[in-house]
Amino acid sequence: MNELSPEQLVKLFKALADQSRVKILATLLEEPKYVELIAERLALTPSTVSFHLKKLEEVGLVEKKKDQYYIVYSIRLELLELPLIELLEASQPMINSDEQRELAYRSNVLKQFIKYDQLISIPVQRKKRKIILEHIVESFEPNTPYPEKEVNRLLSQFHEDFALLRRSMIEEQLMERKDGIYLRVHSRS
Amino acid sequence: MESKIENYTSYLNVLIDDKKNEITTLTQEQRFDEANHAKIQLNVLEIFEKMFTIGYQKAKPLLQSDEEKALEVLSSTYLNYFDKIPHNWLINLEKSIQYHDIETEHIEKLKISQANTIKNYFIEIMKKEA
Repeated sequence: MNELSPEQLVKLFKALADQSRVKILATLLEEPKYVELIAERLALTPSTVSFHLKKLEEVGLVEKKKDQYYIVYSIRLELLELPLIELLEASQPMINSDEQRELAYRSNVLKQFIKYDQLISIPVQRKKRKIILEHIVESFEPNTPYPEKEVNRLLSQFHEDFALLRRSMIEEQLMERKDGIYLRVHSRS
Repeated sequence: MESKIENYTSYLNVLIDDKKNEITTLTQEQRFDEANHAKIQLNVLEIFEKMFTIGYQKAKPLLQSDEEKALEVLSSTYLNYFDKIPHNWLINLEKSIQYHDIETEHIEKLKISQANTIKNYFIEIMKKEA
């Protein structure tokens, strides 16, 4: 089986640690079903069932398929059939990986500060701010000159304080400015 | 007006008590996410309970001299909060649908639906003859 990070493993156990989700999985064991049918069976609202199914889908316990007018959910047995010991063993190789830890940190920072492609707030901590700026700078094509007006326009899509973002980009050497023209100078990828 | 106030206050109190019981039951049944959703709905109820008190306090001085005016002040003050407070919830709902964020969509729908329920009941009471 594929390796699971400890975070993924915890997410999997959290997904299972809810009686409604356990009941949904049990009802899907009988046969694949659509949301409304599960809702009726378990006396839950369709919206609540969709919420739980999304959590189960995220950890790979269910999958969905479009069947004519309905989205049908079915159980994925790959993880459920594994003994717990195998799941724990599968999560071990990543425990000491600095690279994985760094990636997880970056992902958490992005999740914390960016919602629906917009910056919730500009991080005060430099390390976090740099991660955010490195993400935003990806909106600029490399080797393409941008006038300040265009830089402002692109940055304002992320946050209203585009001037601070623009200055921070220069400070972090993610962009350089010459005669009012901006150029992306660094890309994480 | 007093009977309308009493009616609505006791309606809110019953909803709040029911929601608290629901949270306890869901937690006991280990349905933790649904318990959290119920807590969010309870929060909505408590916010609007406070807003109702603010509206009532504003209308109270008029109660003796002009009951009709007092009702008007209470209605406009309280109903105004139903435009202001859920405004961001509606924006979040729209965005969550756009970005297929089912979790946020569900939560925003619960908040909006809870607010609409008590708003509609308030309107219904206000329409009734004293």
